[in-house]
Amino acid sequence: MKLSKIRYFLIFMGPILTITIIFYFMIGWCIYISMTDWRSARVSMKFVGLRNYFDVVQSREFYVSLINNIQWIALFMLPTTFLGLVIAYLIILTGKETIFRTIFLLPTAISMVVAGTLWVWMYATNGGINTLLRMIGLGSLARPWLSDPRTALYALIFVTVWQYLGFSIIVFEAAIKGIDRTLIEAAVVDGASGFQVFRYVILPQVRHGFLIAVPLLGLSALKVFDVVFVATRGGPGISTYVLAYYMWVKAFWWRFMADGAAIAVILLLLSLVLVIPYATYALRRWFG
Amino acid sequence: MIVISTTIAKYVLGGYFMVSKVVAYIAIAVIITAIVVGVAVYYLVPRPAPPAAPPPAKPPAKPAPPAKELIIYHWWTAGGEREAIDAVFKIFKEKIPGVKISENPIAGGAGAVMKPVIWQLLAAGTPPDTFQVHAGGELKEYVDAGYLEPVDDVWSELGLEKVIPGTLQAMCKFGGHYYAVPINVHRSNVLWYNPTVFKKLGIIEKFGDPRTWDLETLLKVCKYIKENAPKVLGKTVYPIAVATRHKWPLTHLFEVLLALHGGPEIYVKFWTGKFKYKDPKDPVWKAVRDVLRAIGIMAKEGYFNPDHPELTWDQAAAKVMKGECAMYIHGDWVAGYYMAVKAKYGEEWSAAPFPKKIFVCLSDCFNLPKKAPHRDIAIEWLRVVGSKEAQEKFNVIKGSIPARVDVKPKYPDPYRPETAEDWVKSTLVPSAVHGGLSKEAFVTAMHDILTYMISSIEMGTDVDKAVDYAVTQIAVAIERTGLVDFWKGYTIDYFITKR
Amino acid sequence: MADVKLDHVTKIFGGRVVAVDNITLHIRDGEFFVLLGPSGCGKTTTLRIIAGLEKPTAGRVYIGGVDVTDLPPKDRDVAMVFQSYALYPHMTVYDNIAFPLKIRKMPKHEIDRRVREVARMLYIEDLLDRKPAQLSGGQQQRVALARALVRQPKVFLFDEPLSNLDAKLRIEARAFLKRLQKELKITTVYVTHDQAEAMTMADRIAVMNAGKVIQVGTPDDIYWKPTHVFVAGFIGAPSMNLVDVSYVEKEDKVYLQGPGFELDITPLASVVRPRLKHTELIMGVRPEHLEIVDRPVDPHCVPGEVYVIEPLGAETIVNVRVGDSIFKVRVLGAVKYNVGDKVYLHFDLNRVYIFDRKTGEAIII
Repeated sequence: MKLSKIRYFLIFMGPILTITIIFYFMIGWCIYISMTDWRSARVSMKFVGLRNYFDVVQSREFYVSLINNIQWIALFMLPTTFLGLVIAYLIILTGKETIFRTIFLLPTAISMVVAGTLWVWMYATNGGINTLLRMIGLGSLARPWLSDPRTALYALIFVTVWQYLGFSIIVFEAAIKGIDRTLIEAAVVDGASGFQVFRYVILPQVRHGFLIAVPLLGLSALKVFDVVFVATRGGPGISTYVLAYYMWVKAFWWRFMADGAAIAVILLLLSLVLVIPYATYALRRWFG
Repeated sequence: MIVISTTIAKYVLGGYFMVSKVVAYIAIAVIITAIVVGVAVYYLVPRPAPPAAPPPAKPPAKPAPPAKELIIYHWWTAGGEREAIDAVFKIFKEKIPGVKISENPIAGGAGAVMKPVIWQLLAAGTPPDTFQVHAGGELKEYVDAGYLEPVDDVWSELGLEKVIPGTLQAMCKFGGHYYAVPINVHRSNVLWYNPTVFKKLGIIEKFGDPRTWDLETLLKVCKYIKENAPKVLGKTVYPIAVATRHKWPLTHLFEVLLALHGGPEIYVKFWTGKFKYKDPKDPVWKAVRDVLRAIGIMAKEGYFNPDHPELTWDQAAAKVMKGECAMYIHGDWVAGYYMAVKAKYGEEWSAAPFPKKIFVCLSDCFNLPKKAPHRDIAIEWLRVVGSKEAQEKFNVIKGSIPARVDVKPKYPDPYRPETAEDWVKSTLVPSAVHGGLSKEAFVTAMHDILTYMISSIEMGTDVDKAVDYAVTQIAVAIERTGLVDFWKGYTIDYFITKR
Repeated sequence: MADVKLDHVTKIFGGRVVAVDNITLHIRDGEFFVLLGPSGCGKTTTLRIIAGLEKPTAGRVYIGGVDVTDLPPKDRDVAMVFQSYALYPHMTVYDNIAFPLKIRKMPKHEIDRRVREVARMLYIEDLLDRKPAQLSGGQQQRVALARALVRQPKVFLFDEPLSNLDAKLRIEARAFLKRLQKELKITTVYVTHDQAEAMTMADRIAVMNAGKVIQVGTPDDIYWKPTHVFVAGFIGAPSMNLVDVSYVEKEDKVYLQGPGFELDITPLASVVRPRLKHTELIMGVRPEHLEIVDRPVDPHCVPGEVYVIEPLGAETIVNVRVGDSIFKVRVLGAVKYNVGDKVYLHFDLNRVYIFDRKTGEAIII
């Protein structure tokens, strides 16, 4: 009995500790590299302090990327979570959950590379969206979505909303279905309208849905890379630069590993700012 | 011994059960931090491109005696390219019967995806036997990092110095040693045009052979096409096609125009940073400004196809073929594209070296990494790559020309004979955009600077203001990217084959 | 204050399953009305139709004389207490009770007054700051009740509100609920499968089976005058002895002939004979209306044998085998018989029920 317990302890804790140590080692390593002068193909570990951070932070690309990432988080997370919740509620109301769930999940299953390419066609000057707009007589709204630096970022943000909506819907569908049906019925009998049921009964009880969805979606918005790489490479100009893409450019095209690592550390800090408050909040809720 | 161990076991067990609650707390804390940090690190720490294949399982690095194997990385996966490299593999297999070729083809134009994978393998000390690389600055980065072995013996054995022009020799030779064997040559400076459009507008009658145009003439031609196409052809024809979704085709245009306008010396000075870049009066800046302004005017006047940010290089080529654009300044792989889509030469496409007297070249080559697991086989491979037979077979299919001037294949297309002729007659300089010169960091910076410039001009910024801003950005990039240091010890003559 | 009328109400689920089959009921103003039946009999669906949670497939529903068939629940002014209590877990007890008032946009001080009043009435004043998860089952049940009461609705609807309580609490709550209802005089519809609850609380009971109302009546009516063999069998513990019998006339006497016995019912003949459609009948007699005797005291005795004895303290259930049938007999106190004793069962003919075996309907009441 005792022996088997300790064996289970070792079986589970061993890998977890190893993985944890590797993670922390990687972080430490990354932080260390970010303070070296590794700025060429040759590995170089000379300590230069925070020089790379100053260089990175002062660059125009960083500034643009940071603003874009902030916009991305705001404009991606709010619609994705709330649309996800509302659509999940509506799907449940229709009772045709399987069909709708499949439809909304499909984009999530598509790889971002494929999705990105697909949306480049959709957004093209003579692509799907503009053709559709002209067909329904809204030709004046047709524009070169990705070719115009004023719309390119938002066009890409929409692609990520499109991709992650299914995920959000699943999370909230599960959360809503976890609510006792009679609670909703009780509220209905107590005189609540559909909206009031949503506001007072469903919304407060799908908090754990937000607990799951918000940090994950926030992180995806912060780390967004593939759609930018595939669709625009940060263009037109540098209008769709984001931090992860800037990191890639610096680390792999410039071969400035130290600068790339510095951006990575900045991203890590940003993600911790996003995650830690939420994680603490989540823990407090879960453990009472 | 037993007593001690049982005591320890008891202590540990007892301790474990006594502190089980504490352990549980620690475990939970550890798991949660691991997950939180892990998620963050996993996504944030530099790693190869998501679409890239994971670094393939390496064969055992220990000296397996009979291993007749060649581990090779390349990015030739598209139609035409695939068949070309297969032809070389076939020759190699005939030469070394029973050899096993472990290929790792990684798709992605110009190795954009493969290169990070190679860098990782090299940094991890598990190199392949050989890998594809662009001759020139791109190769030099690996040499500087100390990852490659010289291949002087292969060069002397095959007598390559006698049959490969000086510029390409220079692109393979650093610190007095050769580090790679080139397999082919592409020309970067070609003007592709739609002959039907040209004929109807009488461009050649009016402005002469494009082979002799200068920058000013090019702008005049653009203006003429833009103004007259609607009248003559009844539709808008954009004079110059460009594609900036992947950005580099715009830098490519800049490169060709700089060679055209500045000549070989200024071209090489600019791309190696060998000029007084802090002095705005330096003659290199003048030429660069002229070219930037010309590109700025093209953007301002709508000479470019307006949908360029959503196109890749081949889609821009297609626009010329369809007559939506009149001209396209791009490398000669465009010919391969036109042949692949069966476009009619002389009707839908035609080509002119631009300018004829300069050949901006790029070359794919193979090399020998240090600690290559099958060194002897890799050397055999390089011998095949440098051989006449392989160069002939490969290039006829691939759409390029042989690096060796003594290989004279029969080309099925009308374009390449002229290129092959120019390869021995024109002045040669390496292409910066395609890894021949400069430094990837600087070229990447140029992509962003140039696309930003035309994008801001198209949004209404004044041309001169945008050019001024681009110039300051370029100066900063020269400083930041370490371009000057990179080419320390090399003169500009080293890269120019003057003819 | 209002009455509730169901007029030929039918509910069919998914086009096939008939949950409620053409029910017509009139629940009077201020009445405590119980829908009683086994699970799946349609009683909860009927309640939900009154609440507006289900729309009837056919028929109309009236509350206080107003046709509410097409009105949503919130416009019907009914309050419902669910079996699971359906307390909002994220709200305090106070907020739970205040909820129906809050969404009606009642002024804050008025809400406060009413919540405290109803909390006092239900002895949950000191629980107002707690969350439902911190309450016992009985306390939760009172909070659910308070939430229903606070609105002073026209009609109370209860869906098995006591079934999640333990036996002792249930008996207390039964009395409490009944007294409360009598004080407030609010029309109440109460669904249960527990006949004891129904009998103790109801002013009137509707016994339901398979979507149909079998009998409506006061608890006395339901007990003493079952109109249908289903009601007879469902009410009473232990339930009524029901035996398949045939009607037989021999010479000038009339018998009910069961498997291995005959009961002389000659005095009833004049009542039974004109109502007979055929001779296939069911005889019913409650255990408390049978008597065990040593020898026949009159012609209405049949011989049997003591089969099982189940002592319950204050009373004893004796199973007596008569022919091939077993009759349960309720005897006060202890019994003097042992298993295997030869005895006679004495039938009180005024307490013998006779039902038509084909329709289940009562022939004499």
